[in-house]
Amino acid sequence: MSLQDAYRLDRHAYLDSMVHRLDPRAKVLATLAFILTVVSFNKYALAPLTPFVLFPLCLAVLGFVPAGLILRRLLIASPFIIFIGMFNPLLDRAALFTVHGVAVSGGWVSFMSILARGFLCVAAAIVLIATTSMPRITEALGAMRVPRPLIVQLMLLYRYLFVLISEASRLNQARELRSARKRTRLATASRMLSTLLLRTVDRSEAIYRAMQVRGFDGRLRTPRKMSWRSEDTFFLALVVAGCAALRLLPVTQWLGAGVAL
Amino acid sequence: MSAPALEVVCAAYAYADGTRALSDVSFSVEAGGVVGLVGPSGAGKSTLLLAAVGLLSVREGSISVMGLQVTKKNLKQVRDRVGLIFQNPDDQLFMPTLYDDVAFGLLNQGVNGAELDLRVKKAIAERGLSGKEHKFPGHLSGGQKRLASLATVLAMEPEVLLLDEPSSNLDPRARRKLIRQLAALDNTRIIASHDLEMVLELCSRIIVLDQGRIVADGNPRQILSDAALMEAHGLEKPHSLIPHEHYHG
Repeated sequence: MSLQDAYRLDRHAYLDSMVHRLDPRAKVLATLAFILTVVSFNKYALAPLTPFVLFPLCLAVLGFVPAGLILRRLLIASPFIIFIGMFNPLLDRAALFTVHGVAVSGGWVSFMSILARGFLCVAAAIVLIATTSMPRITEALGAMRVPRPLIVQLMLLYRYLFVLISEASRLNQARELRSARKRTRLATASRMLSTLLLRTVDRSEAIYRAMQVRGFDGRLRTPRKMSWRSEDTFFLALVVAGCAALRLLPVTQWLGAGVAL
Repeated sequence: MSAPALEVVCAAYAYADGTRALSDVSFSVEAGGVVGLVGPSGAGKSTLLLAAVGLLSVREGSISVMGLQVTKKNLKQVRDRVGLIFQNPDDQLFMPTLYDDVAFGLLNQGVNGAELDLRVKKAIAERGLSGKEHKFPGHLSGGQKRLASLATVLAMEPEVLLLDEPSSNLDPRARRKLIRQLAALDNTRIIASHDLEMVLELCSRIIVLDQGRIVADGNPRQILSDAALMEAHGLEKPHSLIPHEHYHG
């Protein structure tokens, strides 16, 4: 991911749309309700997860978040999600059902379910950041009494990611210019990695100094005030009710959209 | 008689590896003074600036700002009075928008609401950056970043402004714009720089540091004209002080 690409998500959060205008607390709580519901299904659930795609999809459309912005980040997250479930097909080989005479094991179904849940949760988080911004999210967490050290850690970690990407880009440019298009050897890569860590620590310290000089005392204050409106109540109630209905009622069976597994 | 804006008394500092960055440094700057801090790389200029805002603690001696000693206890009051512009504006600009970055220090000072909005917009407008309030600071040009850094600190209305290499990496137009803006300020300014022409233009006094010690302190024109002194301390007599005949415009 390039630095420009990393900034795109951040910049998008400062646009204006009905989703952007929602109170960050409402969006954080709605996303939390969504994630908790998605992960609460049993390990073989696949079809019941399908309607949940509506949450990130609707918010992305109404919040003008480009599909490419979400898909690129899903691609970055995909190795981690795949890693979580990659051993399931090996560990759970019992056939769960057959499709055109081919037995499908429980491991493959649970693997697909993990992929679906992972992508849904990451997509929801991306849409939340793209329509709210990290500072607003941390403000919301602060207002919801999440411990301050945790919020500061989250904010600084987010800032550190940009420092890391920026330093990695510079380091890589310098390597490319002197590498004569040869592949990087493992030893070179490991040295580059340690240099990258040292550089980012230096840069982070410099940034922290700049924050300290301007009065940073461990509490991140932002200029915007939060105001909860009736639209926020409506949005949160809609999401929570929707999640509860999809979790408790056999909606997909009613719709005939799939077979509850 | 009012206290000096900055008073350094026998200050000494050594880094953890034993490198002595400051040795027996003493000087004071009256309110409103514009002082150039020059010297070769590693002379101790940046260390001195960091110590003046309490980011480093001098091992010996003391530093006071507007009569307030720079100690852990006084850090908040000191940092309300002194602003430091770092050499790399990318380190100084850490918030997602220019508006948030300028508001950062003010919010920490307890400024809120309409006053906050007014002061943020004023600081941005005074640096000629109106219309860029919601821009990501990382996407500003080099010159704009430098002015934005200045805005983040000047919004806090510091009495003393410390600048570390303010003109480095700027193109001639951006450098000129910065010099004009720095000249128009009325804060006490201490400018650490290798840009001797800028120092000559802006400063009424110059302090030459080398190996952590003050080797000269006085009138910029006199000191910078001393070619032997300049050479002895890794500096060069500015072009404008060398007698020559070509047209300067």
